[in-house]
Amino acid sequence: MSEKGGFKEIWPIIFLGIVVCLSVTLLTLTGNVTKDKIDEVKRQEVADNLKKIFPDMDDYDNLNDRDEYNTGGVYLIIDKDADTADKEIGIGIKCVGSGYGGDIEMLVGLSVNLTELLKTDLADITIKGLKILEPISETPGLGAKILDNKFQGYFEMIGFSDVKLEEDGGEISAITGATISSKAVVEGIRDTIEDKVNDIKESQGVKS
Amino acid sequence: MSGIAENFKNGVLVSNPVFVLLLGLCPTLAVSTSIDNAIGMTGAVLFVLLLSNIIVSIIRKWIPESVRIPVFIVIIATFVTIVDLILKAYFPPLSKSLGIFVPLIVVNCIILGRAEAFASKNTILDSAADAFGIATGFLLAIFIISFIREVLGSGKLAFFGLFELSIPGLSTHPLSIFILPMGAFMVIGLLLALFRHTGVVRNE
Repeated sequence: MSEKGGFKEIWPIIFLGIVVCLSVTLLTLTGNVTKDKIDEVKRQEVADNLKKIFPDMDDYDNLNDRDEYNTGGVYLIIDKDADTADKEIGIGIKCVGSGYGGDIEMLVGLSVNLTELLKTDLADITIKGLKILEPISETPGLGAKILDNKFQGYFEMIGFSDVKLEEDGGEISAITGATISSKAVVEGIRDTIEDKVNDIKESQGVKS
Repeated sequence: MSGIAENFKNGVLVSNPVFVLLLGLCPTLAVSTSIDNAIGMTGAVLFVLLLSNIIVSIIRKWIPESVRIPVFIVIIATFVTIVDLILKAYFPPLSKSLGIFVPLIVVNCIILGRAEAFASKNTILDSAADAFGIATGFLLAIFIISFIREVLGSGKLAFFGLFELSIPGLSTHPLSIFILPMGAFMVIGLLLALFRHTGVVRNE
């Protein structure tokens, strides 16, 4: 094979390689420029939503930023004016339920702080409030009514054991024509909180 | 100069991506639920289309025939990722409502189609004009569809929070079907029939 023929054969590979290298360089640059801003946007978004449940919140910590924990999606709510030593007034937990059109993401506030959570039985915990995160892909006019203040209001200051649909002996009225979406919210909250709280307790050696 | 204007006009009318070529229907149907989404999507498409057309046109003489499609895809994917990151960082609400359809621009036939059919055979200026023409055609199509769907489906007209207009009667009892996927199919089907019948766009 002549030298020229050899080059001709590998030229497409080299060309593609060059294009890929340029692309990677460009993307790394863009990634570096936007990374901080994206993190900030995400943090701000979580903070804004948590504030709707905990109006007194000044700041929040991620639980998995603390050494001994690795449960994600758990936020410790900090109020600088609180009487307690650690200034924590509650816990926010990110929950996911599977609705009619896809996953429904929610933030649920618990009115206990971390120290109290470890000492309290799950059934005795009070839920401070619920904020369903938009956008959701439930049917407009039916399932999307879970966003109504009336429905989300059912979850204000309610015992964890009462987070069930009325037909199952709980305190939540399902939305007419949208049982699947209503159920998704309730079950998403129950399952996620159960899992995460058990996780936290286990990592601290507390038997649940 | 007339060549450039011609290319622009072709993009809007003769080869309108949605109404004539029937390309890129997936994002057109999915994000045309509101005018804001439609305009945001067009912005993303224009950015990717323009830059990928220009780059493909610049390197068109050196692209080896056998790897041209992978090269186009890499170029397009690069610009799409940049758009996605920029939207996430600076336009978070828009990024959320466009969702998966921004990354999906990578496989949007409009963009790969223009790279292959036009930019790889024409000069930089012509390719840029083609990109603007096609993007305008796309905007026109998605704007009409989203206008109809927003008015009928949610009973209001809003434009990036600058103004919001509630339509009496419709805002209290919107025809939700138009926000749903089947509403999108109905609207685009009827529009296509209308345009064919009146001869506004012709496939030649």
